[in-house]
Amino acid sequence: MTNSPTKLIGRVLFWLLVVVIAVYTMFPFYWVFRSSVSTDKELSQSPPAYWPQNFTFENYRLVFGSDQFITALRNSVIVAGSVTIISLIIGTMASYALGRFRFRGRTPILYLVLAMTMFPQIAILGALFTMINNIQMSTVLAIGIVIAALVGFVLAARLVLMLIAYFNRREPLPPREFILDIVGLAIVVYLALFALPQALADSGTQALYNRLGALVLTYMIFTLPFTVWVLTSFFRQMPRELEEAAYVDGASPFQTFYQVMLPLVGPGLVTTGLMAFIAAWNEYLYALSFTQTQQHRTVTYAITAFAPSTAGGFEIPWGQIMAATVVVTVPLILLTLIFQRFILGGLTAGAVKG
Amino acid sequence: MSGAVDRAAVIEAARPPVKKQTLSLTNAQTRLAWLMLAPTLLVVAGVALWPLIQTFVQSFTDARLASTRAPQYIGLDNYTALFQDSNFIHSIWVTVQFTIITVVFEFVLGMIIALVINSNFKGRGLMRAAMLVPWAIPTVVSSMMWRYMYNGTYGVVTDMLHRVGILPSGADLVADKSTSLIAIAAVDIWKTTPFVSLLLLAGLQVIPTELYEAGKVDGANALQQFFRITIPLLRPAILVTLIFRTLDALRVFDVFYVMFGNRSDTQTMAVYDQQVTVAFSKLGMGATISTAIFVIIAIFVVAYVTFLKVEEA
Repeated sequence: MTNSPTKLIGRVLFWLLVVVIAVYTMFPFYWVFRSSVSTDKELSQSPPAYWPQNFTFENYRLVFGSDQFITALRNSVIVAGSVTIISLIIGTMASYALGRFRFRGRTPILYLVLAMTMFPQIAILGALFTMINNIQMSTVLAIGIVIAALVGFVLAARLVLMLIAYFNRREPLPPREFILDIVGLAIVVYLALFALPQALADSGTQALYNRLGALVLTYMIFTLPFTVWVLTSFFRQMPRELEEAAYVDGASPFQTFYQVMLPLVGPGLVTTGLMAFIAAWNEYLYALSFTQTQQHRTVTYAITAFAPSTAGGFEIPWGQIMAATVVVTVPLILLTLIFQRFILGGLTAGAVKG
Repeated sequence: MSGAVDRAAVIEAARPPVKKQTLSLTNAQTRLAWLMLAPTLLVVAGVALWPLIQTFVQSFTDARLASTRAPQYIGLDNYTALFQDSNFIHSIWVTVQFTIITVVFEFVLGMIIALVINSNFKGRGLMRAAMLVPWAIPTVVSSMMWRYMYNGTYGVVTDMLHRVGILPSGADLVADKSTSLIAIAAVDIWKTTPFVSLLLLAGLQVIPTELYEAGKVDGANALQQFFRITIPLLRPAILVTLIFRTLDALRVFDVFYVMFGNRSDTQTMAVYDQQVTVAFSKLGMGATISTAIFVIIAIFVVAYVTFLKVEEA
């Protein structure tokens, strides 16, 4: 029906569009890479060279040699990691309740969670500042010790029951649970008896301000509602029959959640966990406002604060900044590409379906 | 379906207590549901709702950051001062301009990209994956990248625009007041358009192809198909995308702060708020600005939540 010259022109234009989009999206990344492997002298020449003339890894060497950057990297991993784990643990429970149970008050809470996913962080900046200034480290650490002790108690009880069953009734030890319990118990005992009391002695009288804990606490504002919202839609998609089969077999609602449904929602956990991690890793406003000393800064701040390396120089060290950019973004890009299918699903669940 | 279940629960609750039976499954579920929700609700109340109330209260005081002096209630003084504060009025104007520019461009470009990816060609999977990359990197990082590329002397964007004859040599797009807003909007557009296109693409993919075939049979051309089939069916996705983007743009902070710092002619509401609160330590005034921002954004959120009926998700 269509004559072939028009069709050909259409094809060419289409591919031209594809190329333009690809170049537009990717060129800045090429530029970052090219700048990260160029010498400082080359970077400040005008007009700029579109291809690196003297390939060098000097910038990377300087970046990895910088205490400031390494500390920031470590801080970001700690903060984003803790935020992700805590959000997943408490968010999974909430989303299971919202996704699988029918109870009065469910709809208002869903609305609350949805509204919270769009909560403007700037709107409570001052109040949060006051809050973390008033919270003492001793309070936070004491709560941590209590929680660790409780978890330790539960794990120990389960371990003892397993051992009793083994010695009295010759029941085989479930290998996975046994090992998990021992590892968990070891971590909890270390935390409750050594790490947290030590921290209490060191910084118990100080405020939460300018501490990584301040960031972990405040980042919950955006990771938690989002986690709950996306995971709720994951739990909702689970077939009802599974749950019913578990109830028929005499499982309690919590057992059904923990032993039947939770393992099945694994992909959802990976997606939301990754997205929460990225969100926390990328945060800037709170990191800028709630921390003050280099020792507690995160990477987003560190990248804007690279000091000139040469004595007397006032030029911004772009080569190093670009190398740092590569270091900060490559893990995120790899993770995103590996899990792209999951993430696309998560984005859709979180946004379009509403 | 939920209605039926809820009604059953209500009827059961209204029934006079006959005999104390064992806890029924519904009751056990309700109790467990609240138990499982408790940690989340506690955190949300503690780090979001309580500070929000605090912010509102502080906005009527002259509280200062980390000060030992007790804050005094000063009534509406902060509010009257704020409405006469030319910096704040200007920051609203900057934010609104930025919001309009970015949302319009991101939507149009995002739609074009979504349509391209939605058509069948080799490498579309790769392209869709590539669209996730700008979304994943920190805004601070993309801002630094572009700040470098915008540099007047050795920036690549400046050089390219100079080569095609748009800019004189050595022009600085960021420093120049007439172009700085466009320059910064371009950064946001670059970072967010791919994300917008993915949201729209998800909507496009659920439109059944039969509709287009039927349209073809009826003699509709490509343009007619787009406006008569695609746009109406994509409406929910478009709505969500636009509102999401508008909310994000209204609270923009990172890109402005990294590009301009506290340059007063290019502050958004959020940047101005952060400066007043943290740099100037004026907690009370900052709280007033926060309240103003919150009210502006809340209006949009309410509209959004009303548009999307949660129960039908």
